[in-house]
Amino acid sequence: MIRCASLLPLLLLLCLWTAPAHAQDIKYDSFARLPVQHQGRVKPLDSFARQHLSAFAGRDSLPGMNADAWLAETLFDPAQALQRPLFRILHPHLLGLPEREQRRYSYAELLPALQAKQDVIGQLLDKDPKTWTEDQAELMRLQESALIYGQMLRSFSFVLPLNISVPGTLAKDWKIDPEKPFTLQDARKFLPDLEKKIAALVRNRGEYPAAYNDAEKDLAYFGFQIRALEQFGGDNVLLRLIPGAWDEGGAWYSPWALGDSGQSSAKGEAYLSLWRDMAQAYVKGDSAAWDKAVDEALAQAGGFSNQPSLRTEIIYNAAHPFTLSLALYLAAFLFHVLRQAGTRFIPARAALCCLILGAAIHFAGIAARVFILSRPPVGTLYESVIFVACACVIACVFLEIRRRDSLGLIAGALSGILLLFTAQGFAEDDTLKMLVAVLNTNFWLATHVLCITLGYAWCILVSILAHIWLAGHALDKKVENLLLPVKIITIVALLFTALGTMLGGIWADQSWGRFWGWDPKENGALLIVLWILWMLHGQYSGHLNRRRGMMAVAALSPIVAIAWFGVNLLNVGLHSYGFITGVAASLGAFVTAEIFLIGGMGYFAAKKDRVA
Amino acid sequence: MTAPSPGQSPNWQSWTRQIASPAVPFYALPWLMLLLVLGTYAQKDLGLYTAQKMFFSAWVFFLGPIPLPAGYSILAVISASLLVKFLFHSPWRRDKAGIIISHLGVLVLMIGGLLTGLTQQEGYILLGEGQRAKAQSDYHQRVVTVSKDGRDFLSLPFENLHTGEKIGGLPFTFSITDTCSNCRPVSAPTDERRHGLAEQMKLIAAPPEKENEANLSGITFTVSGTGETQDGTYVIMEEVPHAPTITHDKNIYRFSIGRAQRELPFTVELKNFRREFHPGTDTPRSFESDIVVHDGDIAWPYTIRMNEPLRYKGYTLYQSSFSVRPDGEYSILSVVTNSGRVFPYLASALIFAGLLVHLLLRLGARKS
Repeated sequence: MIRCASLLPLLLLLCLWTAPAHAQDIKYDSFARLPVQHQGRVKPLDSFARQHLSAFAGRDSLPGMNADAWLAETLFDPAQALQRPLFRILHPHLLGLPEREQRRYSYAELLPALQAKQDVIGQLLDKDPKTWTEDQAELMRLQESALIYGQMLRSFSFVLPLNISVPGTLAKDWKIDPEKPFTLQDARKFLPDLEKKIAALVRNRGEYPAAYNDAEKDLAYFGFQIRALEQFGGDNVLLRLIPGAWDEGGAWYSPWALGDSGQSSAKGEAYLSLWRDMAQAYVKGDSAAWDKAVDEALAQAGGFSNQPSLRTEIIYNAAHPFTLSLALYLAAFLFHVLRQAGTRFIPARAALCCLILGAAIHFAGIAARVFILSRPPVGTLYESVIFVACACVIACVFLEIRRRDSLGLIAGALSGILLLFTAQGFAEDDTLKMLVAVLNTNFWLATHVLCITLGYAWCILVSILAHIWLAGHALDKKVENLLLPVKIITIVALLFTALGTMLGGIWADQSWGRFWGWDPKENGALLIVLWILWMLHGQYSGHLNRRRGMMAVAALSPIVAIAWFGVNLLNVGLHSYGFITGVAASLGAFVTAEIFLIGGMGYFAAKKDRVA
Repeated sequence: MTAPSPGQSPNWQSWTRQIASPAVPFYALPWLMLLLVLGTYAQKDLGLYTAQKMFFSAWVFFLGPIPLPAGYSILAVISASLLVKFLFHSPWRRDKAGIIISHLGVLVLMIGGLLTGLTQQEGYILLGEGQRAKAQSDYHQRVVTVSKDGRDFLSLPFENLHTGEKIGGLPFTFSITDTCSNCRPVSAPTDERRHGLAEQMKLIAAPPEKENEANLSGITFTVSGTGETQDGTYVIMEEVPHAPTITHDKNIYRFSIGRAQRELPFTVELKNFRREFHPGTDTPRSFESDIVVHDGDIAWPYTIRMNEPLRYKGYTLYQSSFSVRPDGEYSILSVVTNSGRVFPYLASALIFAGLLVHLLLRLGARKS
């Protein structure tokens, strides 16, 4: 949750930790595998790091630094981390920040800028987020990012060496060496004594430091710093690294929260001490000690980190399967175009091989997600897009293998490219997260949701074929061999969309007690079914001739886009888990472009018909 | 095409053929799609309930002063066309089997929709742990209730009340001064003729909420003939825990406004309500209510979960929400009765089977 907090003192406090010697030799492969509980499931630290870095910086790595190294720096070297350009700010001038090519700004730059906007932020918090302008939403996103990052920076603050000096009298009383690194954890042992001394000081000399001598001022300032550090760390619950009961399904605790949870056990304490060793090894730049601490922590948390799903997630994170598939689909399209242009150095099968390989990687990526999340593949909008893309490409691969006339190749590559590009727009919100209660049912996710998304896939596929037919007709090419697949796939699309819509109604009856409620999401699905029925009846009644019928089939793409994404923009109805913002302009542009494209192709096709 | 049956005149044939023509859905479906888009977009501003009433559950809607056919009209036209087609002009051939089955499925769906429209009632029960309920509250209908000595005496549907209306049946005069479907209390000038909450506030009409359930209805009314100390102006409003009382001829009359109540043929008792979250988050994983159903001398336990409702005596009770109040957590169970409930299931099976048969026949024809 976004809270309006005074952030600037935190910036000053973060400067109280010393910078480490060096951390260049440290390796992060094993560190990345350590388990953490986040967003309701146990995941590798690598996923946690990538997700947060993507949210702050818009990408999952920084120049010369991967997400795991960035996380380690954030946790163990906050003084250095807050100087690193991290936050991607689209409109820096709104925060009074200088324009910069990369538009990335450090936490130390962002915090004062946000502090100056606290009045505005406070007012926005009282408003409905749906009424925020784009700039206001950006401001609130940065405020929330700053709060989250602030928590991350403080995760291990109690074990990191402090850049504050212990007053000589205290060092003597507590028998500590003022020259040695001093941590908040060390101070905790002496807190009762410190409190007593400060209380005595206030009792004897009053509350105003102006009346104190130098030694008393040092004591008061030291007490203030320690108390402030404790206070700022106390609410830190983001990084849940330590299992409570060390069993599956229970709550985990952040280092700060473990003590307060009542769940602290000998095993938990031992595990936490390994994290302390990690922190100290990082600060000293001692790679051997770092490796030892990380390996021991991995061994202790082996019950979690060795789970096949966590290992799969590490591979999935590193592989970027959908980016790879997108590249292969682009290559397939390019190779095909070059072959058609007469380039002979590209093997005849290269394009199809790229398409098949892309589809295989695409499918493997979705299978990995199913394995990681233990649920059917579609539960969010992003997942629906990558699933539909995969279904389209696989169907086209079979079409191409059967027909061998490049039709499946072109349709597959185009659908894969367009849909995976679309998916990139939703990728930022994709955190492999758990689903809300009403969606938490594998039966309906595996039936209704898959059925309706497969219906989308068939609609897009047949729409692309219709586009090709119209383009071919307009250019006077022979495309009549497309008629039969278009007819068959249209019926298949109707079968899946109608069945999916009805299964959705049955799910609604099971969950909400009514089959149909005219909810936007339901209406969107119905719109596609009605459009296909209208086309079929128009063709049967003779109102739509072949060309007009193809134009209607081609128009399925914008119809599906409206039903798929458009209804979520309304932000009303019971399907609240699917609400989105910010794609209205792209959707409008796509629909407009499609109207002109289909209209244009239809016009030229009609002209050719008249000439013939 | 089928041959004319004996007794069917050529004129009749021509009429039915036109009604059964695919041109009817060809012209009706775009209108339905337009309604669908308008009705969906209107939900953004009007909310689902109002938009549904305006565009879908109505015979006509008005575009400015122009009346245009709404959902019921279009669905009636499509249903009539389908019925005539099915009865008189279905080509009863093997190769058309899929289409005939699908059309039958759509007809069944329409009949189910009609039955649902006529019989469906939705309400809810709000229960704290240990509490029992014998009635459900309507989501939309509000009633003004006058009780006499603790027993319901008059029950007035809110939507039927009009400004200036005098309500009979009471031994004193009860007149409606003002009504508002969604009220906002504002401070009122002191006036000795105003009583109860009306001494400090008056109700003004606020813009309707998107969701009808969130509207807070209220009325301002006057009472006369009860004596100088009681005659005057009063206000009542939903969710405001204040019900003015009038004492007349040693009887106590109490005025309140709330959701219409409907008796259930059984009693529901909430034993335990549980909500679970995904560990370490505030994302709900499940809601569950352990209830006991009391029906006469019989009582049995049941657990209502998300996607697992209780069905009994034509009533479906499902876990729709919960409410956290100062005195604890409350489970909100939605209650639905619908005589047409089975039709969509049957229709879905028929439509799916029909489309599948049609697809297979086409593929078979292509191969042969």
